[in-house]
Amino acid sequence: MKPWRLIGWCLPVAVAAGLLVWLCRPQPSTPPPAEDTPLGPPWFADVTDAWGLSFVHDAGPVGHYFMPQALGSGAALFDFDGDGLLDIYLVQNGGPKGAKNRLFRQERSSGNIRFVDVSAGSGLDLAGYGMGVAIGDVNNDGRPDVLVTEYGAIHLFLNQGQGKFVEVTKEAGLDNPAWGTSAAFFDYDKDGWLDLVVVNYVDYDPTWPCTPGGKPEYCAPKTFPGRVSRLFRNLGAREGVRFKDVTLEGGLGKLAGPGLGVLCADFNGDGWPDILIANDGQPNRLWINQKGKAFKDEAILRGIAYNRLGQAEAGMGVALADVDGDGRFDPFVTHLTEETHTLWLQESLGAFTDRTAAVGLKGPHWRGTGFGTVLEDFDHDGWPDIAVVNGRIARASAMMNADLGPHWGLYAERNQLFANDPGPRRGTRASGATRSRGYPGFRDVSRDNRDFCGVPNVARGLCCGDLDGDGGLDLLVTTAGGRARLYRNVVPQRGHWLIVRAIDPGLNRDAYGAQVSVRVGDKTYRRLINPASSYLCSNDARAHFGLGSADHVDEIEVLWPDGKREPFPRGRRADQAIVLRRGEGKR
Amino acid sequence: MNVERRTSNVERPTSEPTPSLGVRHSTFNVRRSLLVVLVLAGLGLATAAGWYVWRRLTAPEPPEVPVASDDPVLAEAVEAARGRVRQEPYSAASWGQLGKLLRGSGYKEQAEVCFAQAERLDPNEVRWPYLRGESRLPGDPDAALPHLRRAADLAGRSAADSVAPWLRLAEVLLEKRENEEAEKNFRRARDVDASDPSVYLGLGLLAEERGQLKESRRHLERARHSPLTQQRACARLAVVCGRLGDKEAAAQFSERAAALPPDSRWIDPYLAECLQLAVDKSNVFLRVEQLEAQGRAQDAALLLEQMVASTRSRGCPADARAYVGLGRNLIQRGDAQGAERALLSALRLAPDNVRAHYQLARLLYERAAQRRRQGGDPAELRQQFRAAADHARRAIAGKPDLAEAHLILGQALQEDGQTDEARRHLEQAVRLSKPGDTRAQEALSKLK
Repeated sequence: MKPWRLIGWCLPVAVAAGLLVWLCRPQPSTPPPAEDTPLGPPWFADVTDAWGLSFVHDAGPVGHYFMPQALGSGAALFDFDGDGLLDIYLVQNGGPKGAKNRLFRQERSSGNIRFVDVSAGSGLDLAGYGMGVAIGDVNNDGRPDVLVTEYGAIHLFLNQGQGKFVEVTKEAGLDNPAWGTSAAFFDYDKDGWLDLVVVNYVDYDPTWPCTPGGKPEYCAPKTFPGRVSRLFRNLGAREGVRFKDVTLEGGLGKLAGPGLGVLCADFNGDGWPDILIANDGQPNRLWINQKGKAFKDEAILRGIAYNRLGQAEAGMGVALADVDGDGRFDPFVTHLTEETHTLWLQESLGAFTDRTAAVGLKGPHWRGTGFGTVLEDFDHDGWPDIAVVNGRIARASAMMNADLGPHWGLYAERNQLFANDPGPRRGTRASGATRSRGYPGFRDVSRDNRDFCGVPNVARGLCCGDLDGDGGLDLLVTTAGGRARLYRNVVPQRGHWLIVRAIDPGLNRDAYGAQVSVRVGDKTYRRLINPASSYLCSNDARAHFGLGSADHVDEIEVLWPDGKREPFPRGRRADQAIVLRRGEGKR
Repeated sequence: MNVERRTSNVERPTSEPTPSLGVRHSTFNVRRSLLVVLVLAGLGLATAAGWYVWRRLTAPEPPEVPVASDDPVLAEAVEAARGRVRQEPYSAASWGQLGKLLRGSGYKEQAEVCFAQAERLDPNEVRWPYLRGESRLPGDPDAALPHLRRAADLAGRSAADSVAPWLRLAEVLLEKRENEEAEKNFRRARDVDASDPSVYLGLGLLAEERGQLKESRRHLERARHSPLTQQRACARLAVVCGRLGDKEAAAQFSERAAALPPDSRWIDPYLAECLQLAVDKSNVFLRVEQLEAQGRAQDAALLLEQMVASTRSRGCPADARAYVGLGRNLIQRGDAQGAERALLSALRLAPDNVRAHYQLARLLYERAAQRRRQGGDPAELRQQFRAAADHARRAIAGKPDLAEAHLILGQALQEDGQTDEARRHLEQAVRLSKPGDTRAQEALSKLK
């Protein structure tokens, strides 16, 4: 056989085979649409440098996987010097020999904002394994006092004025030799003095190694038993501030749990403030106030202990707002990356239903382990939106943000923002047959917000307040081992707004626990005066209202903590911050 | 022959080829055919060899698994399973076995790669798509769904006797609020096993979601007695009964749910296959915990002893946690000497371990207290109380808020006659004790 004939036979076979291979070649995949392509205008701009906030969180030396360093620390927005401007207090976690907590005073000149470090000599510049902050005027002297929780201690500082604070923890009878996390001041017995609840996490043993997958890692909460949260009754400050530990007789001592978040509000409409505690991996507790005498956990009965599938989730931060405009407050709790942040709607008074999926929060653009959270109306359309800051508690398999270093970069995640759309409600409510409207609808606007959501961080605390006085709510984010960042609200064409400070002159302080209702036409907005929410944080204590297109409000009513209602019938123009003093309305 | 050949040659038509030519032609044809056959055979062989070599060269490699150096048992098991995959790279069973080992040991990402390969090789097997989907849970239900749907489809075709494919799919769909499809799959699971409590829990949740409260209650009632579902069923029943206006039942279910331990996971035969293979330390500790919770202290001790022995035989560093667990376990079983040996071994490995120091302090204190009651030698007793106090101090050094260690230290110091220091530690124990725990208060009262 001539070679050319052999070639003549083989060639077509080879060509056919080649053709087949060519046809079956892997197709170059169409590039996916850019995940982070913004679709709308950003809501927040990073102004950390512009406003001069220079703070790096000291989490102590890494490598030992000391658990408290992964979970701190918080911050507070409050006007410590009474100049009408919100100041900032930031907590450190580097231990007694580490960096000290820092106090920043807001200064304005020619419209420019600067945060000036006034820590030295303030009395608040302590070092420790700091976790959370609570702000409240415990001696009714008109000046906000500061409580700091730590791993192993709590500290109460009385505000002396002139930027000076003095520690009175021991004299006040306060002691919490446990791992304190979030804390809140509230007047549970309605005696006019602010009481204190301190949430405790787990009975941590620093010498116990945790090595999931064979590598050292921060321990999971289930490694250690949970602790009981502590309740301290304020005995009055006529002869110095005195608290009494009433944890056991108050009922909170009956159930331990790994608590992280706390929010005090009247959850069942009986006029007495209750306590919601978010537990990490165990059922939440809703301690219902037994008329100032004690508390009883009714979380299961009221549907808020578990998610809608009956599962306990890893609760971290807590926020509360009336998200569907029915006049009842709806709680929101942040959870792990593998879970979802959960929104319960209060569909009838004191009964909560997990409606996370129904309101559109089940399928976000990305997931994260949520800590701090805020439920506020950022765009002033009248509907509270959601901000969540995220950061892992166990290493990711790949570096998420190399700028944070080889340790913290593996724990970084992106934050999230959800807009509560005022458009048509979603679906039909299965329960609450009297309602014709469906559920509120949240839209994930994280991609539009590169500054706030675009850069992975190990975020923990999230505080909210109108720092620059333009009516829009700004945000402060704290991170583990990284910089604290300020985000200015830059929502274009925001609606009208109103900020209300409610003061009880008889108590000489902000009326923590008061509910402020603002009526515009046939619509009523309701907010709570309560700075303690989110995670380890204290927010601006004033009530903030987005009013949409309404340039005035028709009526304001305050439900004071003692149950008395006081209308302030005079209409007021929008776009201002006002102060309502008890007794100045219509009795 | 020549004549005949010649004659026959004459008789042949001239047009026919000459015989010599014919022979040559025939020979040529044979040769040509032979050559073609040889060439084709050669080509075939070459193709086969090429294909074989190509298959070997392009055979998928088992994934790299970052097993920690201090877990030699797992490392060996993983290497053996990877070796089997290298030997039989086109065997679904080998890939599946490696995947199951990895899934059971918590390496979900690498396990998913193995299950995907197993499914490519054996597309009709239910467990591969099922385990692919399962390993994406709970973090990524969207990614899990296509695999679970495929598994449910295959299970339907092969008349599987396990409810797992439908149940898992239904649960994910319920979570994603795709209620119609969830219900369909819950019902398919019920057709296979009408007694499965997880099915009724799911149907109850679904009905509650739709506002069909009476139906929900009916389903949940069927799930409230099983240890797999009782806690969740009672918690949901509390809410459903409350909405139905039955406040008394609501309160009862709420109390019951609060008193119950968390539900066990439902029995997933495919996942169980994975967990049975798990030999990593975390899983051993988990099994020890489970056994102890079931009151099977002896079985738990056996597991811990095996772990200690296996690391020792491989010349690897032992894990102090195993010795601490063993010590605690032996204390429970009344073997004080064995416990002491185990705890001292733990301290040789981790000299600051709080749990080991605390357990030793407790053990030594109780032993000394017992001997004192029996009238032991005072000097010897003092030494023993001092030894207990030393370990309690070391425990407090690592964990200053350990109330129990302060209590033991206070009591040991009291026995040693150091009343002032004893008082300080007992006061500290009172301060640190959980609300309601009066042991330290009582000890302090006795001292006073």
